[in-house]
Amino acid sequence: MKTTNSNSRRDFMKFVGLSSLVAITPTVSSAATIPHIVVVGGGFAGATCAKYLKMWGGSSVDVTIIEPNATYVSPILSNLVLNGQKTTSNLSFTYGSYSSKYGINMVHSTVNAVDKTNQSLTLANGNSVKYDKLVLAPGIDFIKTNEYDIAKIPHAWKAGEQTNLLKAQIDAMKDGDTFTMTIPAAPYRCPPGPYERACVVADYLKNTKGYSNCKVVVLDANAKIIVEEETFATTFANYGVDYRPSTTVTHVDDTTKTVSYTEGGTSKTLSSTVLNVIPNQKAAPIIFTAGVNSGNWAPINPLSYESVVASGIYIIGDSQATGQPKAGHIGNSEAKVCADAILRTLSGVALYASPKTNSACYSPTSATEASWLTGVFKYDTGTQTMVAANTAAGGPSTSNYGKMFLWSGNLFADTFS
Amino acid sequence: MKVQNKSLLTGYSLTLCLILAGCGGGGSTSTSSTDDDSSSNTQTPTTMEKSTYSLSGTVPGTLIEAFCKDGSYYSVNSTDDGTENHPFTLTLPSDIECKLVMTTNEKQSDVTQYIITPILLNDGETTSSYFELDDNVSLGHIALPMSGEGVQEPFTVEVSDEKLQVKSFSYDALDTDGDNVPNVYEDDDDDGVYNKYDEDDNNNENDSDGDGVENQYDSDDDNDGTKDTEESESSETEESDDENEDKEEESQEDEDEKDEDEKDDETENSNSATITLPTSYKADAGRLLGSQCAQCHGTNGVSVNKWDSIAGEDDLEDEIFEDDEPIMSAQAHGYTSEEITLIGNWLKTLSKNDD
Ligand SMILES: Cc1cc2nc3c(=O)[nH]c(=O)nc-3n(C[C@H](O)[C@H](O)[C@H](O)COP(=O)(O)OP(=O)(O)OC[C@H]3O[C@@H](n4cnc5c(N)ncnc54)[C@H](O)[C@@H]3O)c2cc1C
Repeated sequence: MKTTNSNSRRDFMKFVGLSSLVAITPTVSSAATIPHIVVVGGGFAGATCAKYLKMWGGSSVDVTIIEPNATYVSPILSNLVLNGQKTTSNLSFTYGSYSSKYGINMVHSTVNAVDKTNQSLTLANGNSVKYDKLVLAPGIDFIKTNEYDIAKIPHAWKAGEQTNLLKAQIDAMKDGDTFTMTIPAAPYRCPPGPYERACVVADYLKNTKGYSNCKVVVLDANAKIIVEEETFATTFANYGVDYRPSTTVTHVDDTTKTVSYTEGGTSKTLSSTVLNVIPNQKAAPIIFTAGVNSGNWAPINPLSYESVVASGIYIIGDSQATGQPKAGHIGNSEAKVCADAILRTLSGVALYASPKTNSACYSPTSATEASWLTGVFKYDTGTQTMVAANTAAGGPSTSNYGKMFLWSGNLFADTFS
Repeated sequence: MKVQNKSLLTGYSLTLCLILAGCGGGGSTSTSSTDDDSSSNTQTPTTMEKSTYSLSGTVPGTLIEAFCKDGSYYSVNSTDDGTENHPFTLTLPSDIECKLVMTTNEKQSDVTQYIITPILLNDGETTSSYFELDDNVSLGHIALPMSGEGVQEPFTVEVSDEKLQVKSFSYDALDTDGDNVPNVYEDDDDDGVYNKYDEDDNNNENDSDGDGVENQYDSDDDNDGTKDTEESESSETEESDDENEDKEEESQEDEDEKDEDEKDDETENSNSATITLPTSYKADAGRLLGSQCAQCHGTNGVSVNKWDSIAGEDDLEDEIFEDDEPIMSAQAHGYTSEEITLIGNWLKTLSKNDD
């Protein structure tokens, strides 16, 4: 079939050109144009932000999430996949009922470029999307010491395939084998997470598998256990975990499963049956592409999470540079402050001057026990930063293990449903 | 999208109408018997959970199509009642924004002969393709162009009906390039066949009907006028939707079993529940602070498991410090008494979960 018409809209546009058409026409008031807020990333921070923008702003805002994956796998609780207490599908969330409930537009693609002047995004699928406000919630990226295959040396610090890879490697271990993990230098995603993982794996090998001769080695880039020191030091001692602080990974070899590192100025190497290198971290690539980073992270104003280098762009979750922990619970918390600030700005209302955020991590230390760590953060007007208002921790117990699922159940629902 | 030339566009369509004095045009050249039947055949809604309103008017013999933001599709043919103004009635959902495209000459076997006109609405303040019905609305007579071929300049209909809201969006997924021609009436591969009728034009496999809404979020992902949920033992394109939904349910269920969560049914309910969204934003410090309780106590204070719901809590100031849960008391001590009062006042406004 061929169209031969000469006065079709398409041809008309070709001749006249859109810009000249606009130029010769009087403008009709567009005061009622509904602003478009684009949220990049549908993780803990992004999904919460989009939901609260619609829950509080309703039909006064149009909200789109751009996220490559149709299914999000939560890193929270993902250490329990390693010891078989959960599966990645237990920790999976889709956006179907969520998006229709709140009227959120979903686009499954990756944002490749941000044109700040024209307020337009270029997507991997070739489309471009205009925004009035942009929220970047893209999570983290890794700073690897050298190129190696993460299918052989999994980090399992983003959940999903990586988690299952590491589980399969652990399940293939025999008695007498060694599990080695490296802990990145702070700041990194989920401060207690690596210590928690060492405990869970050590418990699994010893008590579930019944291997009394396996070794668990932890190479920590930090000078000491950075959170819940008492809990983890005690548990490490119970399990006989070989914990080595102040170690800097210098090279990873995926064929020999060897890690090179320095410890107290001396270079050392270590081969391991399973090698779980969790590299140092920085903000996700789009933060750098968009030019909203300063160093490894994106600096923001904690009253709104608006970038301090680009107006109209907001950064929440693990990518932003405040001293708040990089964690999902507080990512959800930041997202609400950000959503409210965007809605205030669009309505011409002053930002709320003293926002609060909070954080909570339940850390399984075995298949039956968990500890917890929590904090409330407040805005300090003097330094214009978020500072701790109160923090506390609780040691491992079976009762905390049960409560971990009540906490995560509500956190997951508040984020994804 | 934002900028529309009201005078030029209406002027343009008016001129066309004057030229074609006999506005009965295209449709009336075809046999009229099919007209009557088709109105009932193509009228979509069979069952509707949500409330609907009718949009009516008169047109030259025309196919009237509505494309809605959730990907749903509705269409009806006008009825040839022997006059020049053929009446139509299209039933549309009340809670979603839709846009109209009207096609005359649609009885031609060759789609290239169709005269396709995107409709804009102007309520005096806003001109946009999108509207939402608040009641049954009649648009009166719409004097569509009857000559020319292909996609026409948008035709602007003036509306003064408060039962219809004209809504302008700064970004439009159904019209990605914002030229007022919906994606389905673009011709992406420039072969002269609109995407809608072109087998090889739609290069996004996740969007079968090419309307701009991806299948799993498209309530009618083949734009056949029947909601996917009502389509029995679905076609291939729906399988992805179903799988996804199943997956989500499974994971929720497993979660609940493991948690020995007595109220697992509530998790399901809270997932599927529809909520009423506000029409405007109102700043509320208590709500902002109180929303930070939701990570543990549920959205708007309604827990999805056996941890306490706090919606409707009427004595937060005392209760918050009496809680014997150490993690709660650690949180409580992070807030000032003024903040706790603000949160408490907000919680009082929320309705308790019945139990
Ligand atoms: C083992 C483990 C245990 C943990 N336990 C806890 C815990 O107990 N409590 C807690 O609070 N936190 C915990 N965390 C941390 C928590 O999972 C993360 O901090 C949280 O996921 C960060 O949320 P986010 O939204 O910033 O990033 P993410 O959840 O990583 O989401 C980012 C999303 O953005 C998308 N994205 C990235 N780039 C683009 C782009 N260019 N275009 C479009 N989309 C893009 C990604 O696909 C991704 O879905 C744990 C983490 C691990 C690994």
